Amino acid sequence: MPNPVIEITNLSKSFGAIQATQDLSITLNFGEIHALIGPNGAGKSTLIKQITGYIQPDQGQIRFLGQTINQLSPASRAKLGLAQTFQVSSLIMEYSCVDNLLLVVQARSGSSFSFFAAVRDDQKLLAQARSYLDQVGLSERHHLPASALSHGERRQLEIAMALALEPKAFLLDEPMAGMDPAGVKNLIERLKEMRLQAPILLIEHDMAAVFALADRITVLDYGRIIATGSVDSIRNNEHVQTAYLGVAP
Amino acid sequence: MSEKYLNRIMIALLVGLPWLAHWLDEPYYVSLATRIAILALAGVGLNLALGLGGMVSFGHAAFFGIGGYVTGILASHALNYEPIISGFMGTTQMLIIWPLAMLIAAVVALFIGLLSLRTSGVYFIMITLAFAQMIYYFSISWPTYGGEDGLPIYMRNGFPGLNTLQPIQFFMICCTLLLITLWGVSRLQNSRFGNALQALRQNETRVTSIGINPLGIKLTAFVISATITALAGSLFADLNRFVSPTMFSWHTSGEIMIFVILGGLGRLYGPLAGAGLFILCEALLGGWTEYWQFFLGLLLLGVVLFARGGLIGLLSREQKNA
Amino acid sequence: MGAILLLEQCLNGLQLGIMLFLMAAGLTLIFGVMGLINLAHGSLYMIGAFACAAVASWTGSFTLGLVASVVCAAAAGALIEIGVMRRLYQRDHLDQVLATFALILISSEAMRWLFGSYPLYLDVPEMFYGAINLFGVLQYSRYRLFIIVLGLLTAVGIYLLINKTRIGMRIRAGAADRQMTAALGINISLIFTLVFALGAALAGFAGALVGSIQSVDIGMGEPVLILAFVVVVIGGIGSIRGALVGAIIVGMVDTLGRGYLPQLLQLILDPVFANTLGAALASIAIYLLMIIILIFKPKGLFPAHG
Repeated sequence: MPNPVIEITNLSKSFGAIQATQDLSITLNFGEIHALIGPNGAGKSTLIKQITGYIQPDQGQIRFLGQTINQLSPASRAKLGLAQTFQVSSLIMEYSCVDNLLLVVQARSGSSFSFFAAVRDDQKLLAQARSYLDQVGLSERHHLPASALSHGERRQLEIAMALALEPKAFLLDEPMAGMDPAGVKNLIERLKEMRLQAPILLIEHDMAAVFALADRITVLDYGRIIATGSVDSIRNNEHVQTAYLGVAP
Repeated sequence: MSEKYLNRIMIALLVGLPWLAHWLDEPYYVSLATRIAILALAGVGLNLALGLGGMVSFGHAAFFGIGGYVTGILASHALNYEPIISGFMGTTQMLIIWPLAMLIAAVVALFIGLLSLRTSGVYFIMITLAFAQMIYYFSISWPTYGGEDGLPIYMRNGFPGLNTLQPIQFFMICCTLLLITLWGVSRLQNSRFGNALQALRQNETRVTSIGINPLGIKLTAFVISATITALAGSLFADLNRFVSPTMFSWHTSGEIMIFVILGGLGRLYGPLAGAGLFILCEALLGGWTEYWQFFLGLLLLGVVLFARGGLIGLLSREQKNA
Repeated sequence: MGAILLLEQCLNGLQLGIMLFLMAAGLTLIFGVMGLINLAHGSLYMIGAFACAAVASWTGSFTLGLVASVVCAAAAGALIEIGVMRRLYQRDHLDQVLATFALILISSEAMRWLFGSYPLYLDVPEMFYGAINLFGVLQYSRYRLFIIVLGLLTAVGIYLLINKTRIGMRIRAGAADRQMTAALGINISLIFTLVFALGAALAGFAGALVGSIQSVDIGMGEPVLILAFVVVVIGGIGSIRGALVGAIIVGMVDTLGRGYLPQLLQLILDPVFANTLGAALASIAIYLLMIIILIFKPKGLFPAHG
């Protein structure tokens, strides 16, 4: 019996006349990488925003670890263990890599309402921050401001920050976007390891990566799920082939 | 030269020059230095919200004025032997006035912050301005404490063991408060709270996504910033022995912003440099021409367009530590 | 008697509203199209008033004065846009607030240097002296009526310009999506200068018209500026319609509030206290209104882009 970490039931959201999400039900189970694919405008980002809490659905329920989180703010959901990476890298640009990670470690380890002790003197926090940088291979660059990183390195930093949250679920929005083939290969391996830590809901356009990683694939189009299942079943699904994979009908 | 070195020079000048003036029996310059210290303190308050937190509050004069008026009201009731509320006769003791002024400012800031921090951008600017304007117009229309004419304070409030009427002694009070506040803000800057606040300024989405509630952090910063500016207002009232609605005006809000920007936004000692520069302009330029604000305007425009780091940025050529 | 007074107050409110609209229309366009917070708008209002007063007293003609106010304000606007504003479009709001605040200081002192600290004399033109009989019941100042009519005509003119002409279409496009409009090859730079100059002209025009009723002095622009910003925020940034509706609402609330709040409060409170409280509340009424509206409609009544 699969164990849902994230359970979404009958989610709907419209913006005026546009139905961005139509009666969508989807789960993310323990130990899996669940890939979400679909053409641009299919509603993938809208779905993620509803899960993380930046958009309120019109209808439907979102449950995280058995708890309904519809009313929770984005920060509260993150605190519960929902980690997210963004389609466009969202980093604290003036901070160094280690500082970016330090912030996450600080957030996870107690209150930010401490006003006197210097946070950068806390060796324990610093060590933890450095360890996450090591995990993604950015130790050499730890002192550099995020603004000085290459695109691929920024994507790595995003992953590190998600890891630093020690989350119960990962929501990754196109982590491979704009990466070179070597970077993609590395990331694929890393995601395979991350799956052991917490399940991953992965939005991706890189179909090779999707087929290599996913335990399940769900295909979205016009806000609705048009197919869901194993890699093979999706690969051979006619609807998906015409709508998305570009195979002639 | 490094920012740290610059800061030390400024402190040396701030503390040293007035004593020199006192020794040379030139009380005018001591008062000038006192004004610089007080306005710098107001700027330090705003810098916390604006420079560190990125909150463009165009209504900080509200807190400056609250500090001033609490001082004026408490003192005038005490001096006239009129109770404010049954039993409480007001006070002329600074050590009681300061906490009261800061407390009241904190409550008002909590209220304003809760309403305005839900907005951002121009709406935030407008709402903070609107609150300050309301207090401004209210203080003009309400005659009990002088209305438009303002409220004179006939005696300088007292501090145990000191003769506060003596310029150099009052200066030392203000200067000490400024230095203590600077120390406090520098601890805050490097603390977990300061870390989160400065990160919030740069990327609110990211900070939210790691589980830090932005509203809580910003509101706290806003309230702390208000109390500091209110303390400055209280000292200002004592300096001039006069409070008037002008302390609430948006011009005053703008001026406090000018101190912060001229010195360098977000830099710890920026407001000191900025207030010093501003007062120097007023005193020196004002001596040559009555149109000195024209040149102040040019200076401000120049800094905004070309020298964004302010005076400290210009002199230290150092990247500000994040 | 009460009804006649009410009518007069309403007309005064309308007149204030129309004048605020002239200010707010420029502000909302400038903010909507260029994303620029312009605190110097009050200075343009002042420059228009001074130009009108100066030219009217040199030439004896109020009409020439009005023309001068529009031309001078527009010219000042264009100069400011090219010299300063261009560098601010990409900057954040704080920089814009500070830079335009600096412009206020610069222009106020410059005007003080040119004209001195005392108010200038600007009189209502002779043909508008006295009162006109409205609906057979009210004697209303001819000049104020003229302002209302002229203001409404200007409002119609702006509406036609923005909604019915090619250039208006480009301005609206710029307000809706700046980058796209520029990408389509439309000379966005010229549009910006035009919009700024147009806003300035309207402000100067308003200043000249009001200068005859109130006084022409250095600080005259500032209270109007703040009110105009309140109007823009209430009406919705970038919306001319919002500016008109917002301006009329603000004009009415402010005028009627000052006129009636003290009396209303006297019904329930001691008269002296009621008077004081009423006067105090009247002066803050519009700010309260703005905050309440923002609570329910965070982007104002008619936001230009959703």
